[in-house]
Amino acid sequence: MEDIAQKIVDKDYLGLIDTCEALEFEIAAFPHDSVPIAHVYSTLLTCYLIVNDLNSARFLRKRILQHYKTENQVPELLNAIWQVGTALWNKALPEAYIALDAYQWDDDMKPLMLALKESIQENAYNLICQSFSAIRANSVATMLGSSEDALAAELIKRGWTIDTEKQIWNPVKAVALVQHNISLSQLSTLEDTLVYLESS
Amino acid sequence: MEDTQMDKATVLVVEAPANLDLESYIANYRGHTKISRACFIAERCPSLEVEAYKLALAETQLNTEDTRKYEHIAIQLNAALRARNEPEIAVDKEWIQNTQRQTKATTEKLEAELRNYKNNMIKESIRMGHNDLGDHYYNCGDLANAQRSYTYTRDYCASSSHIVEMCLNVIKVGIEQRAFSYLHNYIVRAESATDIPNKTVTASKLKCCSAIAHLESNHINKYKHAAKLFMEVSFDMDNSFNEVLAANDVAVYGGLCALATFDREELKTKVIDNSKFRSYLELEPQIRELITSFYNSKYNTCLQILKEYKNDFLLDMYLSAHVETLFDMIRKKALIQYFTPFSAIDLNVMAQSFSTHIKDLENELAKLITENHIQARIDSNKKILRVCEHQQDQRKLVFDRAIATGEEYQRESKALLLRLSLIKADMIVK
Amino acid sequence: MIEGSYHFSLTSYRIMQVALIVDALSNLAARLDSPIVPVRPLRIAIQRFCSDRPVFTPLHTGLAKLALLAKLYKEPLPVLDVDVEDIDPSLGVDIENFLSYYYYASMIYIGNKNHGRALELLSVAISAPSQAVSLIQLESYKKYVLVSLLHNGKLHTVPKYTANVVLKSIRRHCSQYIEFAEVYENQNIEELTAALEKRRIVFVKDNNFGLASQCLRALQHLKIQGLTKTYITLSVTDIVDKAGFTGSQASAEVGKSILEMVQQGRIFASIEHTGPGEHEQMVSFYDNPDSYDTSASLASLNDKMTRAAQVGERLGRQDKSTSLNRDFLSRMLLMGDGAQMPAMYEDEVDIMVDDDGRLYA
Repeated sequence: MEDIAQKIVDKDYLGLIDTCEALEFEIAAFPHDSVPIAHVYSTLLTCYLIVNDLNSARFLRKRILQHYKTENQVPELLNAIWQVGTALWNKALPEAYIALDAYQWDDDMKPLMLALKESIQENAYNLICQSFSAIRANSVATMLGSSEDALAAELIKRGWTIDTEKQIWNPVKAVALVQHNISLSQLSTLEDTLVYLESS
Repeated sequence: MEDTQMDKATVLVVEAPANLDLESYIANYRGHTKISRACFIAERCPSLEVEAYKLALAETQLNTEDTRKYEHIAIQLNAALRARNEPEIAVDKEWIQNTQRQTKATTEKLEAELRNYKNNMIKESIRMGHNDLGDHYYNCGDLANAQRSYTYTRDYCASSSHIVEMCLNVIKVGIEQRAFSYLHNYIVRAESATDIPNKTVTASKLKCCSAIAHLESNHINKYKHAAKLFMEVSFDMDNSFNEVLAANDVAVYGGLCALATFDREELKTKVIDNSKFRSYLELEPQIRELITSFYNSKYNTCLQILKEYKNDFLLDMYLSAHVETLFDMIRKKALIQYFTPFSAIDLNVMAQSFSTHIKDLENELAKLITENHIQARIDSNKKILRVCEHQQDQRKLVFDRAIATGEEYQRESKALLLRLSLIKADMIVK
Repeated sequence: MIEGSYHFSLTSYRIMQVALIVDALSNLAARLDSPIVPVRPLRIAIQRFCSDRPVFTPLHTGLAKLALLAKLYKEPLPVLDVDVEDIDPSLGVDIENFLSYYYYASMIYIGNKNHGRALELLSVAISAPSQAVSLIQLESYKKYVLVSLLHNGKLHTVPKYTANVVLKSIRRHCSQYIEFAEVYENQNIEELTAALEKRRIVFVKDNNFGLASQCLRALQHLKIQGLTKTYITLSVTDIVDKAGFTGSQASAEVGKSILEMVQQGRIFASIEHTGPGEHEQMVSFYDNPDSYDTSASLASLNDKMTRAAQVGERLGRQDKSTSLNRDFLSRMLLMGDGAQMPAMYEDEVDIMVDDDGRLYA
């Protein structure tokens, strides 16, 4: 348990996933009360969403349903987390933000849900920069789950061009890849291999 | 009637052609093709139907002994008249009976003569006997027997002239039967004959036959082959082959095929600077203008002419089936040629040059790009067609393919190895 | 296979025990009422057993099947990702569990959206040496069709050594799928939607409706990809038109599709909002900025070539040794109506007769 708590503090979500996956197996084989399975599920599910592994989240959801036999038996918490997951799966960002804000997360979950929200926003932000040369202000607000006013200042700092009149903003371009040069040795290895392949 | 029967399934209706004067058009020909062409037009053009059938009927009665064809045309003509609430024509039954009696007699006489010649074993007489029979059957419209008779002369040919005569007869019947596939042999045979009078004219006739056969074939480059052949036709032939095609046709068929398939250089050297073909072009000045306007990049003019003469072309027996394809090819070439010297062009300007809507032009160009005729991309926002940067694409393609091939090779090899293991272990689905 | 059995004695497992493991674990799972229990131990057992050579065991089939039931799609991957190379019949494996393994494993990859790998596995099942047809092969082919459409945009042919009897059976029993693929290749969204509806019952019965529905979305994406080759910029309304999106949400869906494809690196595009309306969007396509001038790419190419050469070498060695094996040759002959043998063996075939002068039976 402390291990889990520590990893949350360290924001080691991949490590957390490993731990929880192992715990899932352990508890299944040797159930014990010290770590309730629901806790493992809620942590694991959220971590999958944080690292954007929606496939694993989807299958975990199925395992959860299998475990609890009927949907009514599934703890509310897990359903609430899955609401966010569904929204992400359907690429409906506004619904994801709504689901995040709608539920009263308890203290254990708060840091994780905060991290999730940040992760969603981060990914959405990168997507916008990658895909848009000009985007409506209200679209930005929808995708980042915030208000235009709250965002404007921050985005200008990041290099965006904000046109408050036209309400169309220009994101900053994503960074280009660094070019390397080909080395002579690589060319000669390439040559050797070609000769070999041609002769066989 | 085979030629017109074939089109029954998909006969399209053609409006009155702008430039065709039916009577003088038909008068340009002689022999059976007059009738075939007239019927072809009658079947497709309601406004000329009656006149065309009348011409066909008159010609059939005047110059052939084909009573079946006469009756058939009469039926068609009267149906057309009825539909227009006009009085029907009386079928000349007397002519039919007389002719049939006569032809029967002639057939018997010729066959008897032939038997006689055969008994006497005089080669030349036998040849002429078969030939005469062939001519007779041909005249009666019995193409199958005509073909057979002409072919029989083969064994009795004693000179190149005989061979050429036989080949030309077989070819003539074959074309009328619209059975083009085996004609090639006869054409080649005739072409290889030396030492005959009128060699140039004969060679030209054969080239025309070859070209028409190409049109009817399924070769991929048939139009180009046909075009090349038409370009080699000597003007000495002029209208002397008009039992198949008129001098005008050489210009029209040749011109259109050339325009659809030759590149710029070929158009100049083989067509525009071609003195032989130029003489033919003088007979059809609009074709000449078609070619020169295309060459001079006056696409609007060129396409305008095509549009104007489309119905005329659709009513030509040999050209009709190819009109859409040829027009399509010419238009594509025009678009491609228009764009070739540029790295980017304004689509609005281009649309004007082609008298078309910009939306339609975009779609046409998109198709050309997808079919890889032009290496460019469309900026639909700014309405510009822009050459695309080749280089990077090419290199990347090569690398992608190299990696893909390598990976596939690995996969396949491994799969093969696994399969061997299965067989060795006798793990087979039974 | 001698090599396998020496490894055998090292770990001192016997045939019966290997097969029993799977049963034991399944029972345990049932008793604990938790299907996930056996999966990890199975996976670890296989990895230990196959640490030298990836040989096929009954454990493999058990792993794939139980993982599917337990909805554990990541856990079995370390085993599934390793290509099976050897068959040791003394391990108590038969063609049934071989085919089942490949079928179940492919479903795991389909679940993970790793369609390329799924196709590889399905292909093995379909083209396994056959004198008769197994239902598993037919079901594999059905999935093969749909996954091929998703991955390649068209139906790829099965390996040329697929048995005739299998090919015939496929044509008879999987015709709905083949027709669906033909419609897909016409690249017309409306037609495909209709084709999907028409086959709804069939697909649902085969549990393939989800996969088939994905094809619809995949086709839309494919069409957008096609557009990038023809256009530099295009309005969203035009994309809706040309790619065949319909409905009131069409513009929004196009937007979503483009974002998705940009994120996956399948197209390179940039959206420009030109006004307040949903449809007022202009999309610009550009070329892949990643050129192969980087030494990293060359190194990767180099590496792949080296590995390909190694496999080629192995194949050559294997060829020499097996072609001299009498058993093997006679079995090859018996394939008869079955497989079409790859050309390299044709010149090596020498009719082997046993002592009675009869063909080796």
